[in-house]
Amino acid sequence: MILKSLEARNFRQFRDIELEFSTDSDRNVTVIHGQNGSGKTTLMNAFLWGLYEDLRSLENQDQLVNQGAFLETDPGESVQIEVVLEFEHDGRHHTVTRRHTVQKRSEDDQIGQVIDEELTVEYLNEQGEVVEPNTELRYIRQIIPRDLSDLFFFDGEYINDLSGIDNQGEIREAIRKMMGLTILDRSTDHLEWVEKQFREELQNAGGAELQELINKQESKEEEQQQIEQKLEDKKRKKARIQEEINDISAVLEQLDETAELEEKRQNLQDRISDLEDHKQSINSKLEAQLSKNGFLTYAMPAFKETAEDLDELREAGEIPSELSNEFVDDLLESGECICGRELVEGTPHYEEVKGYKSTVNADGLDQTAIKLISHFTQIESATEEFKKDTDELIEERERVDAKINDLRGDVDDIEVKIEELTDDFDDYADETGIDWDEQDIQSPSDLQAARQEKQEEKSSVVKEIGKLEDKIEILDEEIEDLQEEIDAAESEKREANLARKRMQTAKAVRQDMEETYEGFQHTVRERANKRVSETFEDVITSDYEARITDDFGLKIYDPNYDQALPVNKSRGERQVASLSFIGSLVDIARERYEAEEDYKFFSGGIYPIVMDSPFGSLDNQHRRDVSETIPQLANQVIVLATDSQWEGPVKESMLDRIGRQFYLEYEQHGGAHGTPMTTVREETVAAKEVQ
Amino acid sequence: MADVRIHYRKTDIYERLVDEEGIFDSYVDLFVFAACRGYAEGERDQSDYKGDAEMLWMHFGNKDFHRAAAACIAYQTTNDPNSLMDHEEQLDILAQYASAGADILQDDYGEVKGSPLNSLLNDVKQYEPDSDEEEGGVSALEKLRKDMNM
Repeated sequence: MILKSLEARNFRQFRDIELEFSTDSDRNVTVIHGQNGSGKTTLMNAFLWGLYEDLRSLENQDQLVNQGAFLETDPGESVQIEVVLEFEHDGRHHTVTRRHTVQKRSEDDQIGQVIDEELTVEYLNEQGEVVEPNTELRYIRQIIPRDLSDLFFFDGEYINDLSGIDNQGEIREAIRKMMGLTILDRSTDHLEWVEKQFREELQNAGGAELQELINKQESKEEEQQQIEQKLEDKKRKKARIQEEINDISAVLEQLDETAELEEKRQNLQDRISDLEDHKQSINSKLEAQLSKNGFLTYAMPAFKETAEDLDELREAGEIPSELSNEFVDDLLESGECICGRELVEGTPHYEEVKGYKSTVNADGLDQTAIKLISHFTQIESATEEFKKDTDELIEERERVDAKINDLRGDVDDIEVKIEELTDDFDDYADETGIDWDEQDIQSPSDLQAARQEKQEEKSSVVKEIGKLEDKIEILDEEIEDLQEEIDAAESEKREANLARKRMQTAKAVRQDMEETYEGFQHTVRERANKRVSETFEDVITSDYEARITDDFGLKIYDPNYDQALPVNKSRGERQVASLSFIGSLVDIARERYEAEEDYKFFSGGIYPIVMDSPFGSLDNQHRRDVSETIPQLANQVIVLATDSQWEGPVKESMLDRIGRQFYLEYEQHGGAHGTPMTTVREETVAAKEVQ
Repeated sequence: MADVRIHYRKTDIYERLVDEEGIFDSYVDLFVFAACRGYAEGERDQSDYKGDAEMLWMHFGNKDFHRAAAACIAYQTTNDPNSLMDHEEQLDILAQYASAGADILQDDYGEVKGSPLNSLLNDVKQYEPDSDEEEGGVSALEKLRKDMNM
């Protein structure tokens, strides 16, 4: 199907418009843009209404008739709403016209009453004759099944549904519709009904005993079905718990490593703290030295010059060269000479010192000079010691400083590693969507407890699964036994036998079809998966991969973690994945249509993509990526976009693919009697600027 | 003997180096250090050196080196041998040098961020008195010591 044109008359705010779409295979994009509220969604609905009489995402759906036209109409008179869609299909030119005649019932009636509905489908056959198929509706649905309209005429909301985190339902449904598997689904339901009919026949044919056996068997089968349902639920639960356990284990692994580094860092910090204490004690010693003897260096010239002067005084005779009597007495009394020798009365040394006693009376200067001179030696050595001790202390302090610096470097290295691990962990926690607050997790031990709890939960589910499987097995045996009894009871009844055979055949066919159905679904899933991942890879510049999982989830994987990303963390990527998915289905349908092989359920087809505001949640980069890819997936693309979505990356990327371009001009009071009206203006397609 | 006491100018640097930084054990130690620094720099404040703070000779009682420095600096300043015995004069002259020395300390370390211990130590170590005088001093000391048979 290639859309040629759309005409809408008295359809909502469209009084009378006509659009011709691009059918060029290179420039296969038609753009229709306008401000918010200008009528894009209404235009999308014109397609759906024309083909299926459907309306979607439209407010006040009753009020379909153009308000201006209705105000101009007198009560009792009527207005025609009309949508004419022309398209090419299978080499034939088709015209679909849907027309509603709406009568105005009173002066203030704004909705009216539909008094006539008309649908005509015409095509030109090979001889150029106009042909009208007998069953218009069925004919349209053969061309583009109504079920599939979601896939080819979609809006941002559908993209959101597809990209939802629990999207298995939507994805499975889309694949089912696309491959015509709904036919199988319906056939299975129908066969079940047939089986039931034959069973009833069998019941009627058998006696009371047989009837009872059949009732028993039915009740057992029903019980078994319920248990199987429960079993499926439990298996899903088990898989989900296992996934949670894996998440927690991965986080714990990161935390262990961090804790080890934290301990190392603490040890180093303790050592630094000890060294700083040591440094402080060195400083205290230096302070004590400075306070006690620091001044000696500055005073040294005074000491030395005084010594010189005293010498001169002595030479001038102003200070006696002998020791004063008092000083000698002091020495004798103390029992120790200034040279350190012991002075014991009666020894020669004692007598020698005693001999120094002078008969001359020493005056104050004499004594002071002697005391000073006796201190000079000590002062000199104290000054030397001060220099030596402080030098040693300063050297030791430098060594301590160097060690502290080394250790601080080690601490910095560890902190960088911890920070990297923490960042990794945060990224990981973000990407796995683990909500610590929600799970009341404050520490690694809480996390371990949470994992333990999950493991216990899983064990209990595994036990329940075992019990259910046992029950099913027992029921299988019971049903088989009952079947044998039934077979025996009815064997004599030919009629019953025939009914039984028919029932069994219906059952076998149904089971076969169910298997086929499952198989088809998965075959298509695999094909779609391949296409989606290829398309996604082309579009997305990051390392992420899109896959359709075994249970039909459209998931995005970070190959670094092999973990599906939750929807809120990567909305852009998920929406791109959804668009890739639709594009892939359209591509598969085209491939099937062009293939020589005759497919059983769905022969495919050429379908356009009509998108209403699909770029809403995408950032500029993703808008650009999607705009470049989508035109390659479908033969024809019609984009309905707001001006703000259209301007920028979307326009730039599609410029070379645009065949026709329209602007929706909305006037709040532009219609009759000041009613809202939208007109369509074709714009010149701008050529891409040469760089 | 009545206790000898004088008034000296206790500037902010006393609080900084004694109370805040704890580099000097007492105001007495810093007073003597400041005086020696003033003397070493040849800076003496003869007019405004008296302040509200008091310095007592008894504080020098068990500090022989302090007493020796006081006596030598006083004597070197007056050139009068009696100064070697006059404790009041020694304290008074020390206060004059201490006043100028405290200003030098204030200029050098008052604005230093953190502890000025290292700067103080460096300055002490780097201080070199005039070499001629030193040599003369050493020989005189040795000679004196020998003459006194000590």
